[in-house]
Amino acid sequence: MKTNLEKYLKENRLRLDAEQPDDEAIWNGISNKIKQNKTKQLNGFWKIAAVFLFGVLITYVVVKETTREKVVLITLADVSKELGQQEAELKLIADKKWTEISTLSDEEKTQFQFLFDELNELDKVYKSYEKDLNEFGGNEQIINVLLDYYEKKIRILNRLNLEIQKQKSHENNVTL
Amino acid sequence: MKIDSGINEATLIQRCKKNDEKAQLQLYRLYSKRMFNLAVRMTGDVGEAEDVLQDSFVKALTELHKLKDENAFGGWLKRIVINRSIDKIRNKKFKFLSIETIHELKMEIPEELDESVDPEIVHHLIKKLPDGAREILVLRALEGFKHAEIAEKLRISESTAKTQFFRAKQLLAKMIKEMENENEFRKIPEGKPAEA
Repeated sequence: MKTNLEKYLKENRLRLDAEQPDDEAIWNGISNKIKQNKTKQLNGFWKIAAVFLFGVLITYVVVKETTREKVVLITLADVSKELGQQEAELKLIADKKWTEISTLSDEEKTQFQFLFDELNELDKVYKSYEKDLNEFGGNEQIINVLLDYYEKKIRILNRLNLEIQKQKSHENNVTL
Repeated sequence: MKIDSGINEATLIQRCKKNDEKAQLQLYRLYSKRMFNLAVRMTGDVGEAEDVLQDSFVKALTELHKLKDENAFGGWLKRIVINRSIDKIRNKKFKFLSIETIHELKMEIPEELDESVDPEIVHHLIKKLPDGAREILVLRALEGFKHAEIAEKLRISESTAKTQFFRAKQLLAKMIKEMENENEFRKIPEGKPAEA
């Protein structure tokens, strides 16, 4: 009995599946490929993790270095040339005075300990205002305190020098 | 779909999603023959069909989490197999029959055949159809795709899809007729693909 081709194909759709695949070989291939894909995915994950950690490390280093650059101290010379010059002159005098008394023995230093303590306190105040200068910039109050530091320091060192001279002169008189 | 062991297919797929290898093998066995024969008819070559079947299952099993409706697995897998088959044969470039040949076939062969013809023989004759015509016949007559869908999949015009489908039916009917005349339906035919 004759029939239309399309109708025949529809009616016999399932019976057309005549061939049997090599299931064992094909399944082995599928199974192996799935395992390979999993390994690749895992490797990919670790690669991404490594790149991420490297990125974090680089960012940390760059940020740290940039921050460190910001920590560079601002001095009065950065505020203005004149102030820098003024500070340099005062510093030179203070250093010269300091060199003069640095020849003192430990025993002699003990006698004038109260003046050395005063110098230490002065240094602490200077450090604190130096920090303020870096944080808030050079306002008038800070500049005055910083310059005042050198003047006070020179006065203390002068006094120290004077006391030493007095001491020496007294010792000479006693000896004579 | 109910599986022989009584396990529901949706349950089986849920197990596959958890990477249960036994369930994956069970799912493979459930669909392998049907999908393999579809790939054979699409590509016209057993070796290529095996590659398509393997690649399609690898894709389906690794991307199973994307499948929302577990009951739609069969249709989803079929689309993967069809797309993979098209990728395989696309490299060959379709060579469609000329309009003249189609006209000749229309004059010569009626689209009729004896309903007692062995479907296995028809399966092997479909494999021998020329590239292009073969895929269109499989997609339209066996897998129920519309001409517009076929045109989109094969990147051809809808009118070309329609013409080539007509041509494929004529050619298959001619091949069946020739076999009928030679009275060789008892054995599976072997040989070169039909001349375009």
